Amino acid sequence: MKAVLRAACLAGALLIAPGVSAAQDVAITNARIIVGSGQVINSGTIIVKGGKIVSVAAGAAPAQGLRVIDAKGMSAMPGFIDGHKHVNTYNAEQMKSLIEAGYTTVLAGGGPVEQNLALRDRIEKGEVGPRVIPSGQINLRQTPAEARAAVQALAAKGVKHTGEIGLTPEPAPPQSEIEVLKAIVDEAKKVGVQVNVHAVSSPAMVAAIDAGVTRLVHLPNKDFSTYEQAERVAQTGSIVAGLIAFGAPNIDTLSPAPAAVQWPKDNTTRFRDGKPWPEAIAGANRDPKGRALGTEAGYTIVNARRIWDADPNHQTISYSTDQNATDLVVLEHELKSFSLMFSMADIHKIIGPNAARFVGMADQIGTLEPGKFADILLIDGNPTLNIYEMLKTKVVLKEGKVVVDKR
Amino acid sequence: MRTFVVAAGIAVAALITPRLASAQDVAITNARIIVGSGQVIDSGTIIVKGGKIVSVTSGSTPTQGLRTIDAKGMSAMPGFIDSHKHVSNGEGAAGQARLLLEAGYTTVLAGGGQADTNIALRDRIEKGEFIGPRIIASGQINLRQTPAEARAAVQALAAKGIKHTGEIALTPIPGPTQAEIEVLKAIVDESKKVGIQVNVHAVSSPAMVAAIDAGVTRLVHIPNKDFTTYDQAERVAQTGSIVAGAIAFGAPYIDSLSPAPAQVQWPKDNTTRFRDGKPWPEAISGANRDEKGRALGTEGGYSLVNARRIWDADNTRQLISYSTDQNATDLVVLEHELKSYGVMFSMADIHRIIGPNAARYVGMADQIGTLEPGKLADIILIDGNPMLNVYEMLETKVVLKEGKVVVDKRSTPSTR
Repeated sequence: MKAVLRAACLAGALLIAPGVSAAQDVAITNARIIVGSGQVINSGTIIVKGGKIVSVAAGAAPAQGLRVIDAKGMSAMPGFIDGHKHVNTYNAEQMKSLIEAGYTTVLAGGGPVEQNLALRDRIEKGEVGPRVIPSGQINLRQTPAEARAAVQALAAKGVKHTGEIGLTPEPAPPQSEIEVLKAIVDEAKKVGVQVNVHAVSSPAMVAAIDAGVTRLVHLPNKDFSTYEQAERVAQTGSIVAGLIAFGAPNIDTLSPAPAAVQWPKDNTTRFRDGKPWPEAIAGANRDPKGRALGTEAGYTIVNARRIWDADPNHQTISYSTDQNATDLVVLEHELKSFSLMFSMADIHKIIGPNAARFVGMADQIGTLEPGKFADILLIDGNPTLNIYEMLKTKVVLKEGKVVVDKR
Repeated sequence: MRTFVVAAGIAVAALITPRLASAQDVAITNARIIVGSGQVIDSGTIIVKGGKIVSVTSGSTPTQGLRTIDAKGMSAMPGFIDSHKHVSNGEGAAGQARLLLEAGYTTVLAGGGQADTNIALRDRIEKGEFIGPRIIASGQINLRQTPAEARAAVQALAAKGIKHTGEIALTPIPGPTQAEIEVLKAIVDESKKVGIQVNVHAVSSPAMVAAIDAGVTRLVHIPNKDFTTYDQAERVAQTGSIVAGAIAFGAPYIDSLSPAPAQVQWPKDNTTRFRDGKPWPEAISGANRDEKGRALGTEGGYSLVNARRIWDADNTRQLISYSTDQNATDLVVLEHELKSYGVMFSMADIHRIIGPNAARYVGMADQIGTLEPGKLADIILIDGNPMLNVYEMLETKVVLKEGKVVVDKRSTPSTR
C-alpha cells in the first residue's frame, strides 16, 4: 500500500503543474491529530489529495510530490462547524474573521434564500470564507398549504435547509403554529429539506419533536429540561445545537476591529449586542416586577448535559452560535460554557462530528478520516488541555486548499 | 541600571549568608504585578522586608542587600485565599498542605471540625514541621443543643483564641426551622461579645436570608437550590455580608487527573463525577431531585447565576469571595471553581474574589489579599498571564509566604 501511494505521488508530481498540485495535495507532518471521533494521535501525518483526506496515520508517511506542512508543535483538528449562524449578504470581513477563527462550515441561520445562495456561490467561486450551507426562511404565519408551497420553492432552488422556524416558547407553541409546522415537516420530508426549529423552552422543544422535527437550533433556556424531555430528544434521533452561552454575559471582551460588536473594556456585563446584561437579553426571563434575570445561562448548561446524557452515543448535542458577531470572542464565549459540563474530547465531538450530523454532512466533514473533505485546522497549542487552546488556529485548509496561513 | 543590579547581586553574594537573608528580604523584579485591587503593573518590582511588602512599583528600584528573584515572563499575584476548606491534621496532612501551597494557596480558613485539631494543624505549619498555607483555625458548633449550651460552646472557642466558628448548617428546604434559628441567634449574640466570626452553611436562598436575618454576615456557599431573587441579593448587600464560592459545587468533574497524594482520583473514562469520585449527578450531596427522586445536577446552573446576582447587588463588589469546600487538595479543584467563575466574571473580578474579598471574608483584609505595602508578603509567581483566562492562574511556580520562599518550581516545565 505504501508503495502504491508513493507511485501515485510521483505520478502526481510529474504530471501536474506545481501551483495546482500544491493547492490540493498536501502532507501535514508531525501533528498532534485530534481525529474528532475521540481518537488522538500524538504525532502523525495527514495526506490530502484532490481536496480529500487520503490517510491519517501515526508517525511519518511518504510525502514525495506533496506540499509538506510541518506541524511540529501544532495540533490538527477538523474545521469547526457552526450549525446555526446568521450570515446573509457577503461581508468580506465577517467571512475572513470566521475562517481565521477556524470555521470551515456554517449553516446559514435564516433570511432570504436568494441571499444565502448568492453568498454560498461567491465563496465557492473563490472568495474567502467558510463553506456556507444555504437555508431559506419559512414563515409560520401562513396557511399549511402556503407553507407547503414555500418548502417546494426552496427545494426547487436546490436548498436543503429551512431557516430557523421560531416557535412560541411560553407557555408553549399554539396549535396554529404546530399545524403549519407539521405541514412544513411533511412536505420537507418529501423533497429532502431539513427543518430547523428555534424552540427555546423545553415544552416548545418537545412540541417541535412531536411535530416531527429533529433539528433544534438552540438549547432550551427558559427552564430545566426534565429527564423525560431529554429522553424524547434521544428517542427520535434529534439534535439540539448549542448556543449554550446565550445567557452568559460578555465582559471586557476585546473584539478585533471590524467586529460587528465591540464590548467596551469597562468591566461591566453585556449581552451579545453590546447592551447591558441581563436587561438586553433577547426575550429575557423576567421576575414578577419585569426585571430580566439572566437565568438563561444556568438553564442551558444543565440542559446541555441532561440532553447529552440521554443518548449513550452522545449525538444529541451539537454546536451553534446564532451570532452575527464574527470573531474568536464568540467561539471563546460558547466554549467556556461547554467546558463547565463537558470534557475536551466531548467538546471536540460537539463542534466536529455532531455538528456535521446536524448540518447533514456527517459523511463529508466533522472528523479527520480518509474520504472526508480536507477541512483541517492547524492549531498552535494542545486542544486536549482546555478550550483556550482551541482559539489558536494558525493554518486553515478548506477542501485541501490552504486558505489561512498565519504561521 | 543593569550594571547596578549586577553589582548589588555580587554584594549580596559576598556579604550575607544566603539562606538567612533570602528568607526574609527579597526583591521580585521584572514581574507583571496583579495587585489585586484592580491595578495591574505591566513590569515592576516588589520589595519585601521582614516578611512584609515594603514597596510595589513599576519599573526597577534599588535592590541592594536583597535576594533578587527575576520574574521576567511571570506574573505576581497575592497568594490565593480559600475561605472555606476542610483541612485535616491526620496522616495526609503534610501532603495536603504542600499541594495547597504549590497550587498557590497561602491562606485557608478551616471549614469546621474539632477546634483542637485545627489549632494543632495550624501550629505544626507555623512551627515549620512541614510547609503549608496559613491555617486559620475554626471550631465546630452544633445547632442541636440549647441556646445556653451553644453560648458556652462559643465561649469555649474564644478561650482557645479561635476567631471563627466552623460552618453551621441550616436546613435549606423549605428553610431553617425556628429551633435552628433560635440557637443560631444565641451563637451570633455570644460571638459578637467575644469577637468570633460566625460562618454559616445556607445553600438555599431562603436559608441564606434567614441566616442574615439572624445576624450572620458570612455564608460559606452560594445558594444552589434555587435562583436568588433581586430582593434576596439586596439583603446580602444591605448587611455587608459576604457569600463565599463553591460556585462549581454542582458542576461535574470529568477526566481530571489529580497528582498523588490527592484523596480523589477521577478516572479517565470520560464520565461525569461528583467531587467524591462517584457518578454525577446522583452522588451530589443533598442533591436537587425530581419527583421521581432522580438527582438533577441543577446546582451548577443555580450557583452560576446567583453568584453574579449577588455580586451585582453591591457597587463596591465585595459580596462574593472564594471557597472550595473540598478536601481534595490540588490544582484540579482550583481549575474547577475558576472555570465557573470565568463564565460570569471578568479576570479582574476573579482576582478580586480570590484576593481582597476572600481576605475580607476571613477577617484579614488589612493583612493579606493584595500586593500593597504593609501587607504580609504572601506572593505567588505564575508562569503565565492571569489577565487572559483562568487557566493562566494554574501555573504557580514560586510561592512566598510572609516573605519566605516556600515553593520554587522554576526548574519544572509548565504544563502548557
